[in-house]
Amino acid sequence: MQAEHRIVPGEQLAIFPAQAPFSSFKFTESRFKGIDSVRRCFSLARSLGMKIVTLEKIPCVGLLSEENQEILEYFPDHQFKEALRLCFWKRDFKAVSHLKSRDLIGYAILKHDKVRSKRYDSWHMFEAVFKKYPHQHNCIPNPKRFKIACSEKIYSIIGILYCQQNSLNKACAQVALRSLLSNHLPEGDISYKKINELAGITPKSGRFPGKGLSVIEIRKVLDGLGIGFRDIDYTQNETLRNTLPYQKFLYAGIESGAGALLGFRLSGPDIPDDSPPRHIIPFFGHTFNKDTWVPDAELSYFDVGGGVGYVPSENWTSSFIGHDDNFGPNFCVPRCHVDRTNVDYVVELFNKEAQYGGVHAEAVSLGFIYSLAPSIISTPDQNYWIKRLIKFIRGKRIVLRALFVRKKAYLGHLRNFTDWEGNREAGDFLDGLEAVLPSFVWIVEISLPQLFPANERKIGEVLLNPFVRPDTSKDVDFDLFLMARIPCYYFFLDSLNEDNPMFLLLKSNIQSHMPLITHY
Amino acid sequence: MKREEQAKFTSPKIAEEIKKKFAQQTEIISINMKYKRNIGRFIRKIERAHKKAAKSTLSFS
Repeated sequence: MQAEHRIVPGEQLAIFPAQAPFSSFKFTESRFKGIDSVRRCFSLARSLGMKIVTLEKIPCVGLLSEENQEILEYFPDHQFKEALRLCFWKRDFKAVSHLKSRDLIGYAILKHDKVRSKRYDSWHMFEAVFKKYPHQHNCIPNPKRFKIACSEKIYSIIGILYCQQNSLNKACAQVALRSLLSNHLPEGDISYKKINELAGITPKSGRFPGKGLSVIEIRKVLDGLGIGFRDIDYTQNETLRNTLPYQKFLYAGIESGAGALLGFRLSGPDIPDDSPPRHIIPFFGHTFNKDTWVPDAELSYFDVGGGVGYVPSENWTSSFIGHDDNFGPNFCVPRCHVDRTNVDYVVELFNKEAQYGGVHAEAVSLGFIYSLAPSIISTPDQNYWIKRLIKFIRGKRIVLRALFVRKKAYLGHLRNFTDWEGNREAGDFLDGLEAVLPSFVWIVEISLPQLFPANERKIGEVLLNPFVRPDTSKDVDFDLFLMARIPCYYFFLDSLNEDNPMFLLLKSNIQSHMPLITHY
Repeated sequence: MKREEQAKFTSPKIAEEIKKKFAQQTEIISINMKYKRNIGRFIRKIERAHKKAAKSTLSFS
């Protein structure tokens, strides 16, 4: 059972009031040899109002046991010393039985291994989950609910799994994969033995899992699990650092809820220039700054080629949220902090059975919106929001934001919200759409630079079918297109006559702007 | 529903349903697709980079 190590009852429960004079530093140094990831957990817990810490010993079961078996295959003198579970609580209490899930800030499972032949005697954080900061502009699109025991009672917490390497059976690549895969897989988690086997790393292969994974091995893991992705190795073509910047793929994976991986070169005075070590970390969230200056600057414009482009919603992201297994969970990495020249690899993961990602969806939608909206014949009494949209299209300054959304969520969104003047979409039209849309859709929201960040509103969207495998030999793949909406109108593809598309136009009740879809 | 079945939801099928229910409120217009070559080239650039990454020699530890 994948969650057994989380829900197994603990032993020898100890309760530590965390108020002064309790020292997190002293606690970490005396019990866990001062590892940074534990200190980071205490920092997060303090920020989230920690009052009590519980510590208990847990038996070696589930994924912990599977890891020990795998390490033994490489190091026959491996000794499992112990595993401890730390829970951080924001409520003072007299007995654990008084606690509720809402009192839990986060948990961490720490493991102590010893390998005499390798002179290895270390603690590492097998896993941890912490709540995100409650601020509305700290966005984690697809967090997961984890069950965790304290003593004999089961609690739940919502977050993204953090994992740390031990250099025995896992390095940064395996732990980054497990963090994101735990959100994708129906089983809810994956063992390192399984990751390594999918990568082709077994005792017979001659490869040692503690040395990490290559790009080819990462691809084998994702392919083996049937998870779609797009990846770029920037060392193969340096010009792609600017024409296909890593931030676009990172943001697309994050905003769709699937996550993304970033591989970069380490730099510093002791690191050789000719063969720098490389590190890879998972990202799953972002912050949002409505007053950011970047979207008004020329740099904010994303050109797909030949001067055709748009303003990506990514521009209002201040930081990407991810884990660094060396240092701990839930860090904000400023969007432009990792220099493009140091980033060698990026992976945008796809959701469920999606056949293409958010970067692709935005580009496809751009062609449709730039062609469809200006086709509305201009009349003196024409809706002002159509006029504004066409004006921004001519200036190629529209804002696009790709989301992977359940059909029901989209239709619920249209049902529940009104435009600025209070107009609501017709219920019989939305009832009709229910039967003719796939269960999930790519929604590319269309907004304007001053409407998007402050009001968090939009003036339309393009819907694409994520289950269709794109035919990239065609300049326009009409099979992806489902429908588009702008103020006053819906567009549907009626027929294709020798590449000359005919669209069906239907009037909409929505006359102006609507709220963005928020799934946070 | 399997992926192959989900892929069969197309815009012309939605248009058919819309015409059945809201025929009086619809009209058909011809559209000239703009910037299709630029967008097609951009998408193919991503696909080429992705295919090339299959031969990457990078590793992460």
